[in-house]
Amino acid sequence: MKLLTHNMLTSKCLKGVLVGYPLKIEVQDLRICEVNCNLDFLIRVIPRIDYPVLYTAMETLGYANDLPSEKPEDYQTNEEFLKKLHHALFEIEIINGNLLCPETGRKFPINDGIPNMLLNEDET
Amino acid sequence: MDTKTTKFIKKCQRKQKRAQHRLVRDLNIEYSKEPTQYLAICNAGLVTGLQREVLEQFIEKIIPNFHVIMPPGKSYCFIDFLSVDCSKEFYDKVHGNLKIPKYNIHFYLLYIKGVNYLEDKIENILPPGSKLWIDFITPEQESMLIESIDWEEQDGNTDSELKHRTVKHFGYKFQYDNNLVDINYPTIPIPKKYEFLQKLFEQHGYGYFVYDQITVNKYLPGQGIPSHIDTHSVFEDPILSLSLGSPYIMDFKYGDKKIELDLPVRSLLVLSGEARYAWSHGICPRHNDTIKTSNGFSTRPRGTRISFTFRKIRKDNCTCIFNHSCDNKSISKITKINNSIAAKLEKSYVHKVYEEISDHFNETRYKQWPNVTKFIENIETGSFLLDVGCGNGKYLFGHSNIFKIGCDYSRGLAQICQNRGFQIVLADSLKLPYKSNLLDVVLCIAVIHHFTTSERRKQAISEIVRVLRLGGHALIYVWAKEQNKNYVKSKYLKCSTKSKKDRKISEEVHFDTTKIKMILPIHENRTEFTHSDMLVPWKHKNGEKVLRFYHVFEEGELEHLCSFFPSIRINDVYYDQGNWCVVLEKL
Repeated sequence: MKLLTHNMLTSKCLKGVLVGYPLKIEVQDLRICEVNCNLDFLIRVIPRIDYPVLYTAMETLGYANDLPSEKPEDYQTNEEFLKKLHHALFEIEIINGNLLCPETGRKFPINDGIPNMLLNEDET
Repeated sequence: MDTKTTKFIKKCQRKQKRAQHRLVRDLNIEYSKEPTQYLAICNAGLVTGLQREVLEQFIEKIIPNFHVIMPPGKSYCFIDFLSVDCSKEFYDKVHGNLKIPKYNIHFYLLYIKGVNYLEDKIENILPPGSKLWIDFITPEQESMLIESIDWEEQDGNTDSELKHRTVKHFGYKFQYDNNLVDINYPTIPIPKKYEFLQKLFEQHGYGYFVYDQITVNKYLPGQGIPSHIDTHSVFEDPILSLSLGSPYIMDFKYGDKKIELDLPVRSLLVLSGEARYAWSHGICPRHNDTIKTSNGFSTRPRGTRISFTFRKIRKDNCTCIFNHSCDNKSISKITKINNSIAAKLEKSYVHKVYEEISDHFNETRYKQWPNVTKFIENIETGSFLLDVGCGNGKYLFGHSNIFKIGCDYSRGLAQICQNRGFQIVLADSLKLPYKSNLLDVVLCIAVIHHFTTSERRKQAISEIVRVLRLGGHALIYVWAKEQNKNYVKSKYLKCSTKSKKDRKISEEVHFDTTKIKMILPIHENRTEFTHSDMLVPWKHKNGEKVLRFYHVFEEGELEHLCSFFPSIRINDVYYDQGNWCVVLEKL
């Protein structure tokens, strides 16, 4: 699971959960895989992501130094920042771990890179 | 060129590209790079509620001589000008620029090579066994009947459960949950002031029964009634229906036969024989009807329609010859099962099966459907796309300028996606784990037909709508009941290796739980569908068979489901190789 996917996931589907966002991350294994950078695409993605949520995720993974805590104003042209952002969004893959509902603590396991967001019948 | 202009030009080109593809696919009309005397309006037509008169008045102010061609059921239309100069002048003034009064959108135009589409002459043909009596009652009697109903009164015979229309019953109450009538509990008796109608029925030769059940329906513009056949075991033949207030088009269907019938006010429609027992009838929920005028098709805005339907409760079993649609002879339609039983059925006949067949499924389902691919190719750079029920991820492949994610219920299929390097989440399409108002595009290809009840199919669409951003688009494909459209067999039928003689009589599976007994027919592969809800065999390489549940959609059914969501607009509806397809936009 890439951090851009994490940026979109919620546990709002659980009964009684109001926001369910962002999901906390517990990580066991992760993998860095190189991905070609498409700048045009990346610049269009930036306004769509929840930057503080991405930064917190990076912090949890121990990469707080690899990304500024706030999005720079010149993000469209700041090449150094764009490189870092590309790395954070697309190159880090969480392989095993858990996602946690921020309100109930319900664990959603990540196995072999696949988050399991399926619910039991009594949870909906 | 500033960015605003570039953006605008790109938008225009995108609209034109989409239309080019649509026109070739639907009517085999080709676009032209050079100006021609023919123009297509890419984004407005009868189906979007554009009225011929309004359009004609608009064009006339710019170019005086022209002919408008509006194909029924389409979201585009055509203008035939006298010369290329005329059409060029119109194009330059209007394309992406001018707005039509009262119809707050820009027109996107496209030059086309010709208009080979001829406006069909639709006669007011009736389904066999039916009859339409014009001016059956007088305007005075019509007013009396309309005024006789107090819709505000809470008398226990108004049905508040139906959100899409208002209903009152006399004699007996019709139960919409199981489509039956409980004869032990009569409701308010039929008022004396309606007795003159029974006399009128007698005078017209329908006096064989004293009709003891009346349903009064009120339809406001935009409302309708799903296509149905009145339950055979409950009501006798004929069924009489009086139309008041505003003319509406009623849609009749039987197999691949389709008739649109215009019901004038004060007319009496009599359904008997084949029309009563085998043809389904319904009213499409929309604000305008497409009608034939002296100079082509146009739209007619709907008003409030009141209908009085007179029926006689049946005491014996139905003896009709139309076994397919007769509930006295078979139980093949899932009418009402609760959510927990529905979930169990899907667990056994959908989820479990996909786990079992995931590898074989992956080997046989690798090719993208061309029209879905074309849809993806038109998506803007930087968009987020979600494929709900993505299977082996065949649409997650390629297009590096958009970010694609998928979800599926099957672990086996999710693993295949993961191995191929796609972003995949295990999730239920009834409970999507994504933020609301987020995605630019949602695909849902061949998924919704696996849900066992209409409520659950609606829930799946509601989740798609929830996660779409404003202005975002969704493409939904479901399997069509009609596999033999316009006399062309779908690929599914063409692949049949059996001759008709070899076909077995269909088998059935008896599904038993503590609460409910149900019989589901097993479909014979590569043959036409005879039921709406059934089990379809999947043949393993070793010859072993597993059964998957399918609800196949009739024409109009998918749009009807979508019509429950006021926040979406249906931009396109089409039939593609045995599937019904819609393109939705969140507003």
